[in-house]
Amino acid sequence: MFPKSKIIALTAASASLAMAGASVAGTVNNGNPYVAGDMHNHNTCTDGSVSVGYALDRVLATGTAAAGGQNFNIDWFTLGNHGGSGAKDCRFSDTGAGIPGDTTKNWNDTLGQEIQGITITSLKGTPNGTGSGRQMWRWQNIQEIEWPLIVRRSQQYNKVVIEGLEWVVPGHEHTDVAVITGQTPLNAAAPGVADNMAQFEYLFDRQDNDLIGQVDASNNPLWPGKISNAGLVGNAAHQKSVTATAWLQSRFPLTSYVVPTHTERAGPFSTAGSAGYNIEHFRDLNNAGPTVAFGIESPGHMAQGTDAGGSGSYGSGAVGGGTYGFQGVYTAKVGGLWDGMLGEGRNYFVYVSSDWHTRGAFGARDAATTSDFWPGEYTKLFVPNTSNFVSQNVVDGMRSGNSYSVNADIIGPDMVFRAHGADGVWKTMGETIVANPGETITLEMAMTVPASNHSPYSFNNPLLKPINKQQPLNKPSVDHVDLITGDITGVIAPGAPGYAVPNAAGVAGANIVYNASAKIAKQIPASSMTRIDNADGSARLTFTTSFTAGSTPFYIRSRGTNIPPATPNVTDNDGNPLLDLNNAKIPCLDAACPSHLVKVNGTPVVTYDVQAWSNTWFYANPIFVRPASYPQLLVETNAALAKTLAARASRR
Amino acid sequence: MSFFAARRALALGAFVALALANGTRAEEAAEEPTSEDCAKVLAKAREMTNSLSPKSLSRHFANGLLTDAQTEADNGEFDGCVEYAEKAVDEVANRKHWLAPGEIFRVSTVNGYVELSGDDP
Repeated sequence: MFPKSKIIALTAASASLAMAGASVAGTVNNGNPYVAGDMHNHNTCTDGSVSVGYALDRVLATGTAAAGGQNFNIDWFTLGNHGGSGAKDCRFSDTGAGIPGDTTKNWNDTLGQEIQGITITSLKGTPNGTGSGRQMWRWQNIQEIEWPLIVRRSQQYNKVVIEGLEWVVPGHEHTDVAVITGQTPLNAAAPGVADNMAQFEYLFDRQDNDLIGQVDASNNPLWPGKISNAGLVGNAAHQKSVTATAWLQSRFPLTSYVVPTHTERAGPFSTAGSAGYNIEHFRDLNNAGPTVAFGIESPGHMAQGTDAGGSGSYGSGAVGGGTYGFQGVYTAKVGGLWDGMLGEGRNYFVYVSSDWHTRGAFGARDAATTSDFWPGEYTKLFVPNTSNFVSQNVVDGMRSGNSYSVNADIIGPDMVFRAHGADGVWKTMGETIVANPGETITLEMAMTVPASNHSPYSFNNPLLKPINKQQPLNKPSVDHVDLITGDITGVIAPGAPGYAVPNAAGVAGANIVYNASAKIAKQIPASSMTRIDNADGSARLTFTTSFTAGSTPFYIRSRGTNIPPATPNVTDNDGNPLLDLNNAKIPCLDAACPSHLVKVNGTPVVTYDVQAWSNTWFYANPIFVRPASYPQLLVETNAALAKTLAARASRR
Repeated sequence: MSFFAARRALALGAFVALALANGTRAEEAAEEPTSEDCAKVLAKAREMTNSLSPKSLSRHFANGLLTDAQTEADNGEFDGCVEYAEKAVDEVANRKHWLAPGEIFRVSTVNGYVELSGDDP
């Protein structure tokens, strides 16, 4: 818990842009300055393994599920399932999930039956599939299955739950999207609808080839203007994704977001198909949606790593050839793509989510996993708390940049990362300090390292054994914090030199430098921080340091880890994460090492969930510093745009 | 789209990448897997998996991958289907998972749990 006065101090700088109409009852304040959430996860409506209701219960509830399995009590939750269609009745889990009494059923089995208070009488839109393969378009699924179950669980647990989407993007891989306008599930009298989310999915998802959509009582289509996906690849498809982002910007500039996810996985952008993203595509999206397309999400699927790689579901063809400290190379590399975006002064931030689908070789109730973690189990996206937390606060918090991403509970919900110049006014993540050249920038950072995480393993971290460091996997630890700086040289116009940058699949992609000025400016060992040991076993770490403002703008971002620099097969001499594939070169020799690990030459090696619990990081979004004489940065003008739009909306 | 998306093309060998060297840009011509591709590799993977002992940990892992492959196929995601099915083939061919004497592997199921042991014959 955290004193409420501090909550106000920490979040005042990024005041909520709550819209008119968002004055519905919010959730009970848990007392922490930030609240943990997840915006990217799946159920049997698409390719997840558990039903909608079961997933919501495990994620939102406390304690242990009735049939076994820990609940994860997440503070807020966005259901972010794929677009397209699905054959499974997602009021049921897959048989393989191992949930007693719950077996796979398809829509064809259950049409007309009232199940969980919901009756699906027909599969709407263009007929899709036959027999047991008959599929429901996701727009119907969003409206008639996921949304009513969200309303029920939101009120049951008194938590913010949002209906989102993992948009299958024309020309690219996937992107997290939500449109919260109309969604008021905490208001029992008027819980609202998810129709705007459904309409976006119908109009713009690459896998949604329905050409009818929602109709009125006279069967007239209600959602005109769909651009057919047929034959749409490469740049033409990318333009549809830009159109979609502009559509959100024009209709829902403060109540939606567009956050590309696992952005390296599909390799570089392909002019001949739908693959990954290059930096120019992120720039296009940010240009088209200055208050909605404000960042990227690092990969989930944290427990898929084998001796052949695979953590994050990244194969050797991903840009970078795999994950680095469980981030994609765009965000993990100092001077990489993210630093390229920040080097323009863009409002472009980093987020994390679980991408929960399945436990792999295990059942949904098991503590071990060879694939994914549950939302709230391993990854946490923190946004600022408020006294009356509602879905608008999730979007506002993400857009502001005042958010941070944590794996394995390496730090808790009360991080402080702020700085000030001579005026003494603290600015936090996403904000800009205006300072004269030569002025001292004082930076303060504080974090609580929790007493425990959700790891089922208590043996010592095998990755640290080669350096003779003993650290139980279920006890979070911070070795050091990096403060990474980069110069800001201004926005590059579309078509100008440097706007588009050649990209490459595999490890070659890790060699691309987008911002040569980016560097680890300071590395603060935990041993040099002020430490207060709390009665509950957690520890509060704090430090203060300083920078000097120059004649040009720059930014300061932060990351921390449990892994010391120069740990063999994990970090380089500067502390940068190596390709995670290398972790599997290290044996797991403790007698408690689980039996499901990959064995190489008869010896279990650091793979799957053991790898994820061993190699832990957090990432904090940047603070910007600009000379008074320099024009406002894009991050400032876009934040001002959001405030103007909010003020305009509140006057309506 | 499955979560394996276009990188599937790499493993299929239908991916033509003109070498990216000295900063020149790669151009790709990707061929999306079809339902026939999916069915073919799925059938092969099933046959290989079923050839293993029911008490084999590799068979358990391969069966999980086959379930994932079928889920992808049912949703029309043939790239993901092929990806998972090929992983199952690799699992069976290379036996990456096995239990040493005394090792136990337990997984919960609809009906309770199943337990595999390195002491099983």
